[in-house]
Parts: sequence; C-alpha cells; structure tokens
Amino acid sequence: MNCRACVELIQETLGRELPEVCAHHLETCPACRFEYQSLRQLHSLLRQLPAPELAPELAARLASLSLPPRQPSRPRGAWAWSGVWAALSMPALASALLLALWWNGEKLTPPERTAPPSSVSAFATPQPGPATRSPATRKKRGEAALAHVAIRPRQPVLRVDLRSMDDRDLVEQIQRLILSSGGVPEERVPELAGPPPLQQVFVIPRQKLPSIRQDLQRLHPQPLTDEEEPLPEPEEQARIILISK
Amino acid sequence: MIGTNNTAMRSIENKSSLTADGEKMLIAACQAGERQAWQEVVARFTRPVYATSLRILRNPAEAEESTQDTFVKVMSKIHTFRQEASLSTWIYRIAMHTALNRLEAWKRKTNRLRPEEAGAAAAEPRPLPDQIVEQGQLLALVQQTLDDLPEEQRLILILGDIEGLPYAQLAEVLEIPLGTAKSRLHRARALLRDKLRPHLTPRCGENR
Repeated sequence: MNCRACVELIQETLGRELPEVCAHHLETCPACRFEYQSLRQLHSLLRQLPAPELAPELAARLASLSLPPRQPSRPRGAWAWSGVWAALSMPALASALLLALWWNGEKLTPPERTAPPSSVSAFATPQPGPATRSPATRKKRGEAALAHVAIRPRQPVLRVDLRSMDDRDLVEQIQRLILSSGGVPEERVPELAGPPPLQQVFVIPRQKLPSIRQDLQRLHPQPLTDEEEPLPEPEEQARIILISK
Repeated sequence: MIGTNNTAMRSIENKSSLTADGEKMLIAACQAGERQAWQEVVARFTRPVYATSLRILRNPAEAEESTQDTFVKVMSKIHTFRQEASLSTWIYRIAMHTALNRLEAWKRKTNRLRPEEAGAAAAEPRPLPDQIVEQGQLLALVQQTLDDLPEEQRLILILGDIEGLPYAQLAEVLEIPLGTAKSRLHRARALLRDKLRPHLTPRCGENR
C-alpha cells in the first residue's frame, strides 16, 4: 500500500477501526503514522466539544406548535392553467364577475367597520405604495387603530400592530393562530442591529387570508384599517406582518 | 451553553434512531396532523437542530430563533415532504439553510465581517501559549480555531465530525456529490489539524 492510499483510508475510516492493510503500512511509515495519530486525536477532540445546552422552554414551545390540517393537493403548472381556462366559460366568468363585485362592495368594506375612508378606498382604487407609507400617515393610523390591514388586489398584506397590547397570552395566541393556519415565518434580519419596533413577517397561502383575517378580528376587536404595500409576491401568497414592541 | 458529555448524548440518540418503516409511519402521522407524532419529531430533532444552528451562528439567542424557524418550516412543509431523503437529512438541510441565511442577513445588516474575511492577517493562526494546555484548554483552543476557519470548512466539520453525519448524508444535506463531500471534509480536517499541530500529541509507536 502506498502513502496516498493509506492516508485516504485513514480519513475514510476515522472514528472506526483502521483496516489491517493500513495498519501494516503504518508500522513502517512514520509520516503516515503521524497523519493517522494526529487526525485521530483531532477527530476525538471534535467529538468531545461540549454540547450546547438547550433552553428548557424551547422544546416545549416547539412541541406546542399545531400541525396544519392536511390540504388537498392542487394542480400545478400547465394543468393548473388549463384548469383556469376551463373554468373561464361564460357562466363561470359571469359568476366570477358577480363574486368580485360582491367582494369589493360587501365583504371587504362591511358597513359595521369604522375604518377611515382612505383605507376603505384603498380596496377600490389602489394607491401607490410609498404614498401610503409615509411616517405621518403611519403615525396617524397607529393612533387610530391597533391593527392595520394592507391588501392589494394581487398581493395582499395583513399588517397587525400589537405594540399597544399588553396581554402577552393574546399576542402568542395570535402568533399560534397564524402558524397553525399555515403561516411560515419569513427570513428576516436578526434584531441584533435593528431598532424597535420588531416586525415578524409570515407568508401565508392567499386563500387563507380572509379566514385568518376574520379570526384576527375576533381576537383583536378593534376596527381594521387597510393600506397597500407593493411586494413582488407570487400571486398565490399573502403576508401577515405582526408589529410588536 | 456548555454541556457535559456530548458523546454520551449522541449515543443515546443513536440508540433510538428510527428504522425506515418507523420513519415513514412518523411522517405519515405528522402529515395526518397527529399531535403526538409532531411532538416525537420535536423530541428527536430539537437538540441536533439547535446544536447545528448554534455552531453556525455562535449566538444562543439567534440559534434559538433559527431553531424555531426551522421547525415552523418543517411543520408547514411536512405535507409536501416526498421522502426523497431521510427525515433527518431533510431537517438538517432546512436547519443549515435557515441558520446560514440568518448569518448572511446579520452580516449584511451589521457590515461586520467574519475574522477569516477581514484580511490576510486574520487568516493566520492566533498566537498560542507554548506550554502544554490542559484538556479543557485544548478543547477551547479547538473550538476557537474551528470558529476561525473559512465558512465552507467550518460547516462540513460541524456536520461531518461534530454532528457525526456519515458521508452519504453529508453529501445529501449539502447537496453536493459524494466524492466532493469526502474530499471537502478531508481537506477541512487537514487544515484544522495543521493549525493545531503544535498542540496535538500523537503518541509514538501507536498504530491503532
């Protein structure tokens, strides 16, 4: 056996018993012997590095997450599109138009809601994003309501301001509700360098937004206001942004 | 952050490792929304996910967040898990990407470079004491030298030698060919060994 093959074998079998053929080579080759002994010691040291200690509440918190109910699989790609075109027969198109009118006129702007007129109008005639996100507007809306809803016709965003909520249990209930409804936390910049407020962003399937919105409204009885946020989201997704202290 | 016996903890986990059938049943139960099955997944994988996240991020609070994000992703995607890899491989992969994304985001946000990226001087081994270090000091030295390795080498040593993933799983988690996984791990070991060479004490005449 030559040195190269022996070193390769040493690496491959590190942590296990050395093959006999390699052991014979080591008896006559000081360089390979050093290679074997130093790598074995290194491997042993790496295995002895102290294991990180888990925060006891972490596992309990993770175990308390609720699995979402199984969803029926949806057609994808070309099949999905063919389904869309098939659905766009004349009766279906008429129904869709009626539904859209009902959605715009009734469901999204229910008469009992006390949202400011500007937020209501955001559904009917979308405004450019930056104009609705100026600090002054934000402040005014922050004073007016705890929860902000920002929905675009194609890219919905639900913004929920929890900064004035002192009930930690209720905040956690809201987070659990979003998670259990299929919300996935978005990759975000850690708070190490960022000033408050903290923003927790969840991406959710778009079709679930109305039901989550209703549930949030129940947990969070203050009137919801609406605003827009231009985001390059896939059409089937929506976002929920929780703003906390 | 520091525990007592890493090897003992790993051996306990190995004893309770799942058979292929057991894993399929566990996944099916999770997909059916069974709470107990999910709790089993959490019990089995919280430690390795947290350990890997912490070793990548080197910040307990960040590692905890990353662990939580990992499990939320696992939970929300388990319905679409097609078992092309093992559950363990899949979860390790999610944990690794989640932690690396957080690390990248942190670097972008803070403009702080890792030591190995700060220039040639930082790439040199740090000055080390001449006297023989005790075992505890030696472990601290190994940890420090590991932390100073380039990201690629550090990552493969964390997964391959510290977490003890076999080559095949290492290749699957990192999504690289098996041969690449082997050679990358071998180079990383050799690099770390060379940096620690003055402090390693191979005994003469010992072959096994």
